Amino acid sequence: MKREGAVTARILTDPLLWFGLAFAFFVAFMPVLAPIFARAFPSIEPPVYAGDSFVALWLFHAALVAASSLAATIIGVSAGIFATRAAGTEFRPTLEALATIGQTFPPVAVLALAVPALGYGAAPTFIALTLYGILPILKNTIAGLTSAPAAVRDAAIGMGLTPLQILRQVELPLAAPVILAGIRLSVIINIGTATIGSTVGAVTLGTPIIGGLVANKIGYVIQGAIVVGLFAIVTDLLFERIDRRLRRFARRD
Amino acid sequence: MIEFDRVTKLYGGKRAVAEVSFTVAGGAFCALVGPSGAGKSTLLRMVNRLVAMDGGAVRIAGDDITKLPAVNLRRRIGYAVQSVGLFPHWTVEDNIATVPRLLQWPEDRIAARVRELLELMRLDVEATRRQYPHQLSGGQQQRIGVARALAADPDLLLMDEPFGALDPITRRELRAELARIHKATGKTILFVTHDIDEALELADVIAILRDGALAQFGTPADLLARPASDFVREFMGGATLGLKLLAQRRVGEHLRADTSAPGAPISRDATLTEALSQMVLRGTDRLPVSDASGKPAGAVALADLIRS
Repeated sequence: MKREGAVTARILTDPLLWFGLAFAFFVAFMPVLAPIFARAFPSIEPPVYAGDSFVALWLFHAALVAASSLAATIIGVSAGIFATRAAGTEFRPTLEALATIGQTFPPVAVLALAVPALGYGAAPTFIALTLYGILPILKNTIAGLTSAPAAVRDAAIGMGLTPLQILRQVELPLAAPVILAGIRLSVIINIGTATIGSTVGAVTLGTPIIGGLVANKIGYVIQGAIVVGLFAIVTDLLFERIDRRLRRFARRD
Repeated sequence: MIEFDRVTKLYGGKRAVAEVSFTVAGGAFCALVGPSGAGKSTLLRMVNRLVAMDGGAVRIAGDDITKLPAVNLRRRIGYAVQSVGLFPHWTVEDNIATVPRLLQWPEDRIAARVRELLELMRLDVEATRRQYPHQLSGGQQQRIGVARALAADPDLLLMDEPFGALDPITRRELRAELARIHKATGKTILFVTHDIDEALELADVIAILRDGALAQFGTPADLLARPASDFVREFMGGATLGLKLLAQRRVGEHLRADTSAPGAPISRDATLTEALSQMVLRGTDRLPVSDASGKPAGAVALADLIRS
């Protein structure tokens, strides 16, 4: 009985539950809040953004972030693995420099450069987010793969594991929490950055924000920002969950 | 049997190991000793090709080690090191199973082997099997390291200061365990240590290295009785050489047929050092000796200790 109580308490105090509920509420039932927004911003008509539904905006936004983060992960992890192999060590500084340039390049500038080549819409945003997301993943992949203790690697070689077996069975699992932290950072940054995609016509949660800024409708900006913010928080909490699972073998002190 | 034939390793033009030749019989326990930088670890790591040779050859049971691909060679040789290097993300069971899995043993055979090895290491099978390395003490980790090295039943075991990082009590315990395991399994063991007493206690033969060259190779008794150079004499213990010689000899080999000595008897398997110590403690020059079953076997006298 006591145990059940403790489990219930743990679920009820779980931030993921409450932020998840809040997020689901704002995405699904934003129009319900129309009277509140009407009172706060009487001049805005209609009081709640009335373009695509927030569910649709969120789905487009999430798809864009998922696709670009997946691309950034594939590129970042592959490049990180390559840079830590014997054949790739010479390329490591170059790769890190390239990723840093990708990161320091303002995403708006990437959009501006990509639009003439790819046209308006989701494509230039996808490119910008991918470039922007590579650096944290690449850096953490390199850090994680090189952090396997020398003794562990020595023992692995000495027992007759092949280089591929060492990578897959030893280095990658040990680096997983660090690589995941890089992906987490990259995804969270991209959830925020994706809103800028709406300036070049990508449909995202940034659409009400950008539209609201242009038309001076602050209510839309707030509505978009709340949903993006909650989306980022919920995603971050989900990553924390995965991270805890990955670290189950780690020191508990 | 393992044969070192003019083995040489160069580091930046300097010879880290210089034309070292000696042969260790199958089933023997060979200690590689010497001061830091003498090349003993390098020599050991050339056997499983973690370090490439620059000259000479190593042959295991007559076969040159460069004949096999390095990965296959390593799977046939047990390897245990001071820092243990257990995989932190694998359970004890999975760690021990590393090489059997590489060799694709069936799972039930692996499980049985893990159980057998944990028992050999005198660890609680059920309690330890599913633990992660960080949940074990240093001594337990090292036992798992040795178990992992033995897992695929290799004929040859390489050990690089396996007990170097442990406290003296655990160290003594594991030494005794290793001696027992060596007797029980009959493996050929190459064991690197800088501790000559550890070598004297465990080894059948000792190779003393200095600046990459072999200073002397022989049985502990040989080295103690006939050190080839001042370096060897000093390294073996200088002024205390005689006491170490006594530690190599057993009371049973120096018995006289005399059952009149007073006091509690000592075992005929005790070392002469222990006999001498007892004489000093008791203020006597004669001790009664009993055999394994506790029956009187004779006596040992102070004069017998000095005669070899």
